[in-house]
Amino acid sequence: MRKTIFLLLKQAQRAIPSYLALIFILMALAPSLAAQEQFDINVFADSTKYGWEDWRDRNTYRMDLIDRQELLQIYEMESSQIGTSILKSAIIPGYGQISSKAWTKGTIFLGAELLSMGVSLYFYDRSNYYYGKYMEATQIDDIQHYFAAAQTPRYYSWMFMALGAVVWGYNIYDVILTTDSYNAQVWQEIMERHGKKTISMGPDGIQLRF
Amino acid sequence: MKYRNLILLLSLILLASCMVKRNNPLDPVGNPNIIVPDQVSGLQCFASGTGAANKYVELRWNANPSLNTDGYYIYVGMAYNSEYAVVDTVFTNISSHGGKPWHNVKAGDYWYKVSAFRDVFSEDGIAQGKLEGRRSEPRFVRVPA
Repeated sequence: MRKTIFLLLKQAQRAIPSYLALIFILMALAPSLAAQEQFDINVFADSTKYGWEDWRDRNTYRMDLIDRQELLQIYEMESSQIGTSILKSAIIPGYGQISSKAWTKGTIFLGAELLSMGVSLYFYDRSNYYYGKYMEATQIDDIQHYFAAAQTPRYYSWMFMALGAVVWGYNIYDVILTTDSYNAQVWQEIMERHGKKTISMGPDGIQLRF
Repeated sequence: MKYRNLILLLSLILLASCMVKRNNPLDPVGNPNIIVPDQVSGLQCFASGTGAANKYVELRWNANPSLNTDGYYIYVGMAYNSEYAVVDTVFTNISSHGGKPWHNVKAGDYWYKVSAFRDVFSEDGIAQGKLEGRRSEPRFVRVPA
């Protein structure tokens, strides 16, 4: 196989004159040579194109970037994830709010949910009690009386169940807002703390702020 | 508009599903084929005379049509609004409470009620129970010593 390719190349060399081959090579390399001419090392090294006046300015920018990265890390640790908050509140209403330090809201949601579900369960139990009596009744007045007595608490039970569902839904909506607000506050506090810090240690040494 | 109708439909389904089911086989509303016995009327009570050795109370009432009645329950109470207990089951429109050896009526004041019942069967012929109609108005009787 190699031998065949070698022979073919040799035949091509004989067929095409060498100056023509040189022209072809130059034509192929022309675009990259033009690009080489366009590249300017001074322009590349010019820091002002990024808005920096000189190397000091660039260093300040770098320090600021490192500072922000550090703050972002602290923020990631202290803030609440919205997804986690939603999951918490979906399982236990108000828990997501409590996690975001909104104690009152969380307690109100938890209390409202427990109350509505508790009342719903109470009426459901009452309804079942009378329904049992209805099923055992053989006298026409008893049948009618116990059926009516079972139906009314059943409606109340469903009403409070629906109220519980509304509270649950609003609790999910609220936890998104609460977590957002909490995270904004966390960022604000981090910034404030950072602003108050007079001495900080970094890879470049000790920094003092006045 | 489309969503509103959908929500309305879902609400109706939810409302229908939360209703209590009329599953009692004796409930005439849930089972339209059931015939409810008529309320007993014309109840009269007669007590045994003074100094009778075997005291009894004789009860008579207007017989219900056999179409809706298979028998009657006799209730007795100690006052008009007191609890009433079934003391006898009869299949005619006459009853003698205390007239049988195992019945024993003591001297005193009593209130009697009577209700009719009908045996209810399913479409397969299986007995579902006895459906009792409305009880009659209470009737007072004094059994002398």
